[in-house]
Amino acid sequence: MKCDALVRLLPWLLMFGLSLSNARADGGVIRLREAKGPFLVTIFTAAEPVQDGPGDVSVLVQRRDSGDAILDATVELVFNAPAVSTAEPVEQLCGASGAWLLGRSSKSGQAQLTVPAFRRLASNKLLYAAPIRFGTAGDWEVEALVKHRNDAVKFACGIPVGSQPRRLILLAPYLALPPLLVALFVLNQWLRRHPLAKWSTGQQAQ
Amino acid sequence: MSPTCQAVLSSWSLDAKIAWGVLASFLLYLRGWWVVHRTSPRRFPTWRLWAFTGGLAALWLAIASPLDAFSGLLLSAHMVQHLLLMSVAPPLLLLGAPLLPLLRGLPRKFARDGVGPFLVWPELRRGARQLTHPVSCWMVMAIILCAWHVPPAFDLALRSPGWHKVEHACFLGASLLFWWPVVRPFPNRPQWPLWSVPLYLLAADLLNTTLSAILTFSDRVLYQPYLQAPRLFGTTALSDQSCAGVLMWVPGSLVFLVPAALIAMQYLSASHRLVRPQIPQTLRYGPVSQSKHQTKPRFAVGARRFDLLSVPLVGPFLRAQSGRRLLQAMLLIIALAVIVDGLFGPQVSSANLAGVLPWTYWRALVVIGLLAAGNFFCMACPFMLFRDLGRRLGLRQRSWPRALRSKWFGVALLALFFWGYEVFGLWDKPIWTAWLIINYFLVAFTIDALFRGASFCKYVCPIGQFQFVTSLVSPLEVKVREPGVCASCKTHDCLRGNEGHRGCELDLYLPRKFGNLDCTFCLDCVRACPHDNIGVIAVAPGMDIVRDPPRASLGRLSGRLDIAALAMAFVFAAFANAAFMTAPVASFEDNLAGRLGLTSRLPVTSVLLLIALVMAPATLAALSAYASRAASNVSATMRELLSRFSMSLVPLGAAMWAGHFLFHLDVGWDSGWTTLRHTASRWHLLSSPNSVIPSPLIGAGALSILQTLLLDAGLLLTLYLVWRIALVYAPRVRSAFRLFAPWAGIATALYIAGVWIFLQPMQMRGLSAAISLP
Repeated sequence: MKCDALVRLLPWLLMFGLSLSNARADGGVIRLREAKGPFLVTIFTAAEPVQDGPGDVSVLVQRRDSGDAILDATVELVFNAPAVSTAEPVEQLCGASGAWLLGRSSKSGQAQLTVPAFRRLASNKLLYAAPIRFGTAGDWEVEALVKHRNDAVKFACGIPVGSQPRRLILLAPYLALPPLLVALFVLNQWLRRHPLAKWSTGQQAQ
Repeated sequence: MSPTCQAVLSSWSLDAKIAWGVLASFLLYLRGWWVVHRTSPRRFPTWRLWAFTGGLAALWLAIASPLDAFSGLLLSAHMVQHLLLMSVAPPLLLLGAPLLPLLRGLPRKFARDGVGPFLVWPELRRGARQLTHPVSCWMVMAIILCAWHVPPAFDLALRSPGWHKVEHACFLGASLLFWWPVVRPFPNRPQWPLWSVPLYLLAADLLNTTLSAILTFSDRVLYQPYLQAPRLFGTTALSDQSCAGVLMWVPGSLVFLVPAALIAMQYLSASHRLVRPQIPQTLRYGPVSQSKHQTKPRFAVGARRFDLLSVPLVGPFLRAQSGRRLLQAMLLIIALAVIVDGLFGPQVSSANLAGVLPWTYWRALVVIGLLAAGNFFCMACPFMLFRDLGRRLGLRQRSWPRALRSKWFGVALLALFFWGYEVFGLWDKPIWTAWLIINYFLVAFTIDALFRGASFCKYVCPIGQFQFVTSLVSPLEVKVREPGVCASCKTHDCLRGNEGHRGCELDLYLPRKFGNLDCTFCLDCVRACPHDNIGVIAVAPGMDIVRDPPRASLGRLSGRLDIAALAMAFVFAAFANAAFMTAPVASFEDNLAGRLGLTSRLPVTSVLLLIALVMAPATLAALSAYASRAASNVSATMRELLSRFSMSLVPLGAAMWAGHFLFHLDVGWDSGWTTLRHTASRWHLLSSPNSVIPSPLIGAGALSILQTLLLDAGLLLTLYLVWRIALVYAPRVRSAFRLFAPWAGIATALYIAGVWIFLQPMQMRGLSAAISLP
C-alpha cells in the first residue's frame, strides 16, 4: 500500500484546501425583509462585515403570495459608498479570488457600483449572492434590483462596515504556532530526561 | 426533480479547514489502520475502518451538506445537523478505535520520540483518566447540551459564524467524551462495569427527552432569529420548532435506547464475561528509556523507505536516459522561446514570455519542486546538453583550476546575480532576461567544453548553487538502498562509470554521499550501478545537516566555510529579495537617494544589498559563533561552529523563498496562457486573446496564512536543527542551550522580519501592465 505516497500528497492537498477558501457568508445576518410588488425579498450579509474582509451579500427572492423561492430572477446589487468615499472596482490582484473589491475614494470614481448576484455564487442555492469586499469602513447602502419576467422592484437597506482588524491579529493563531510547538518540544525534552518520567515509564512498562 | 429541490440538494459548502482536517484524519487513520490491521487483524478488522470512515462522513455531512446552508433558516435542519454531530459521528469515530491507528499513522520516529513521552506522562494519563470517567463524561455532555440550548446562547451561535463553529466543536467534543465509556475504544480500560452503561445511557435520554419536550410543546418560538428568518417550504417558525423537537426526541432517544438495550442483552447473556483488553507488544510504542531486559519495539511493518524509482511509470521514466533527454529537450525549447520572445517581442514584461515564464512560473515551481520532492530542475537542465556536445567535440581535456575548487566563486556569482536582479530590474526587462539566458548557455558550453567533469554545475552555476542549498531540505535523496551491497562492490561504477553508462561527474561516491549537496539528480549513478542498489529515497528533510560525516567530494561540513557562506547568502538573500519589493523599503530607498542628492537608486540599492548579503550575515554569524563558543566552553573552533550552525538556517531561508515565490505564482498564475497566446498571435499561430484581468489563485488571506505557515515550518525546523547540532557539541542541556541561544536569536529575528515583509504591500513586479494588455 502506498501510504507514504499519500502522506507526501498532503502538501498538495493543503494547497487544494486553501484554494477552496472563498468567503461565502450567505445566510448570515438579515438586513432587510420586505414585501413589495409580487416579491418578498430578504437581504443577508456577513455577520459583521469589515473593511477588506468578506462582506458577501445574498438575496432570497420569494413569491409574495405563496412564499415559494424564485430561482430564475435577475438580481443586481447597487452599492453606494459612505459619504467620504466612492465605489469603484479595484484591481483584483490582491482580492479574494473572484470577489469584487469596493474601493476607497478616488478623484474620478463613480458614486455607485452595480454588481450582479448569482445563485451559483451562494452556498445556499436558493439565494443570489455576490462576494464582496468593502474597501472602506462606514455605512454603505445597498439596493437590490429584482427582475422577474415583467416585474422589476427595487429594495434598499444599509450595511454598517466596520474597520478592518489588523492583519497581524488575523494571523495571530498561525504566529502562535511556533511558541506553542517550542513549548511542547521543551516539555517533550524534559519528559525524556526527567528522572521521574523515566521512573514512571519503567513502572508502566512493568 | 423540481428546481427548488435541485437547489436545496446542491447547496453544499466547502470549508477549507474542515475539508483539510477530515482528509488528513482519514489518511492518517488509513495509514495506521493498515499497519495495525496487518499485525492484529482480529482486533482491527475491516469494519473498524468503515466505522471511522462513516464517522468522518457523518461529520462532513453535518458541516458541509445543505443541512449547514439551511441551518440558519430552519431549526429542523439545524437539529439534524446537531444529531449528526452528537449522536452519529462520535460513536462511529470511537468504534474505529482510533487511538492506535492514528498514532501508528504518524511518522514512526515522531510517534515514538515526539508523542510517546506525553503518552507515558503520569500527570497526563491521570488527567485523561479523570476526564474519561463516566461521571465526568456525562456531566460535560449534560452541561454543554443544556448551555447551548439556552436561547441567548443559541441566538449567539445563529448570529455569529464564529460562535456557531464553537458550538459545533463543543457538541462534537462533549459527545466524543460522552460515548467514550459506552464504546470503550481500544486500548481504553473500562472504569465502570458493563451493567452501568445502560443506566448511563438512560440518564442521558432523560435529559434529551426533557429538552426535546420543551421544544416540541412550546407555544412560542424560543429562538428569535428563526422568527425573523424567511419561511421556506410552507412552514411556520413554530411548526418548524416542533418538528425540530420531535427530531431531537425520537431519533435522538433511539440513539441512546438501542445501544442501552444491546448492551443490557450482552450483559445478561450467558456468554458475557468481562474482557480486559491486552495490548499486544507489537502494537506498543516502546517507553522512552528501555531497560536491558525489555524488548525493543518492532517496526518491521512499513519500515522500508519510499523509493521514487519503485513507483510504476515514474520510476522507469526517470531511470531511462531518454526520459531525461525528453525533459531537457522540453526545457531547451522553452528556453529558446523565452530568448526569441525576449529579444524580438514587446518589451512589456507581462506580455512577454521572458517576463512571465522565468520570473512567475519557473522559480516558483522550482522551489516548490525542491521542497516537495527534490532537485529535479537540475535533472532537466538544458545547459547540461552542451556538456555532451563538448564531450563529443573531444575538447574536455583540462581539469578545473585547483584554486577555484570551492564554492566561493559560486557564492560570488550568486550574490552578483541577486545584485543584478535588484539593480537592473531583470523581472521587468525581457531583453535582459533573454541575454542572461544566452550568456548562461555560452558560459556553460565554454566551461564544460574545456574542462572535465561537471565543473560548471559544481563550481560556477549560481542556479545550481541555489538548488543545492535548497535541496538540503528536500524530502528525496539519491542514495544507496543497502549499504552492505556497496561494501562488497569492487568496481565503483557509480563513480567511475562503465562501458554503458557514465559515473557521477560531480565526483560523488554514493556509499559516502550524504545529503543532496552537489547532487544534480542526473541519475547517472543509478544507471551505472550493476547491483541496482541506488534509489531516490525518502529522507527526513534537513536532518542531514545535523550529521557531519566525511562526505564524498565535499569532506566534512564543519571544515567548509565556503559552503557555510553559500548557505548564509542563500538565507539572507531570501529576506532581502522579498524586502526590496515591499513599499516601505522601496520608499526608504527613494528617500535615501533623495537626501543624498542622487538621481538614481542604484548606489543606494547596491550598498543596501552589500549590507544584506555580505556584511550582515558575516557579522551575525561571526558574533553568534563567538558568543556560543564563549558561553558554552566547548572545544570546537569558532570556524567549525560557524560552519555547522550556519547550515541550520537553510530551512528558514527556503521557507522565505517559497513564500515569496508563491506570492508571484498566486498573483500571476493565469497570465502564462494569455502571454503565450499573445506571443503565438504575433507569429500568426493563434488569434490574439481578449484582455483579461489576472485574478489570484487563492485569496490574499489564504496566501498570508500559507506564507505564515511556511515561515512557521522553516523556523521550527531551523530551531530543531540548531538544537540537535548543539547537543552534538554539548550533551549537557545547559551548555547546549548556551550554544543554541545566539543562533536561535538570529532565526527568530529573521522570522519576525519575514512576517513583517509578508504583511507589507507588495509590488506586482512584472504584472502591473497585465490589465492593459494590447
